[in-house]
Amino acid sequence: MDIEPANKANITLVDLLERVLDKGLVVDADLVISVAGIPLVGINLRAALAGMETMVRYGMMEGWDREIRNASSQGEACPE
Amino acid sequence: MEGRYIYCVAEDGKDVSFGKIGISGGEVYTVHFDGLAAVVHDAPAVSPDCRDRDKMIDWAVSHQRVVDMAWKMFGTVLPIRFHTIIKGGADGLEQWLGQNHGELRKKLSRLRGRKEYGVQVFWDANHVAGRLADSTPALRDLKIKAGAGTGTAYLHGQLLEKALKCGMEKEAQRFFEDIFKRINDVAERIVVEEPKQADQQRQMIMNLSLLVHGGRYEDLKEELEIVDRMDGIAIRLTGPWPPYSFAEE
Repeated sequence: MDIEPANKANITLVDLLERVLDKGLVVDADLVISVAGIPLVGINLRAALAGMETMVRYGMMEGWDREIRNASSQGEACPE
Repeated sequence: MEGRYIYCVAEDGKDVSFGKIGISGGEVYTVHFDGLAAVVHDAPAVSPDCRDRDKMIDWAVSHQRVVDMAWKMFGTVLPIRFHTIIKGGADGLEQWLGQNHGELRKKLSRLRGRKEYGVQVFWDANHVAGRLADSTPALRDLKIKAGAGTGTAYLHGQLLEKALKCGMEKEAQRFFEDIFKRINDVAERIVVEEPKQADQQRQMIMNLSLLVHGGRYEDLKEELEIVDRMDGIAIRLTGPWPPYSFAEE
């Protein structure tokens, strides 16, 4: 089998959130407007995600999932 | 309080407008300081409801879309933590870019020409257990006794289960070390992530984020193909992603 990256349609919301939340450079707290609850968003979403993935697997929420994936993967070419 | 939601930083001098593609339809544009460009939108004055799950997912998706677009436009970006709002207007941003200029440039130069990939390694637990039970003499012996239908079959079944569990752990460790070494030879940096739950049959035994130099991508694929051919093992590759997992280092 030839290994190719999962195509856009197979990138799940879980893959996306795993990268976007709780990663990236942290800016010094004194320069940032803190918003109550934001630090918990990652935890809250991840807790909800396991169940959601299952729902998608069983054919529920598919349209919604597809919509999110499309929204998250506009454009094709990647920079070198 | 006035603020700018910042998505990522790039090395560039030209003004770019991305249009209204930001979170909640915000107009995304760049703020510059001495060769660095911060990709931002004017943060709304209202606080979001962080418990609104669908809204937070929408936000994360919008965030990724902007970072992705900036990445395609600038080639190299340094992603900033989700939902970072820097105080003040353009002046606040310029000040931050100025104060951290050297550090930001250094981080960007370490990301130039590299891409992030996700590699997940799964194994078919039943298949691996079956192979172990058949190939290890002690386990094979227990398996025969457990299936013998005699009075001690149940006890032997229990022993087999325990021995298998132990053997599986060792086997997982062996796979992990072998696969990690292969990937470590081609990836510049690796972050070991928590494996996620798959299902009963297909267990995730490794979840890695890799930073790979453009010139090593074919080598990575070659190694992954070798891993994918291992008995009972399957690979899932995602990416390329902007270097989210490598912005902090």
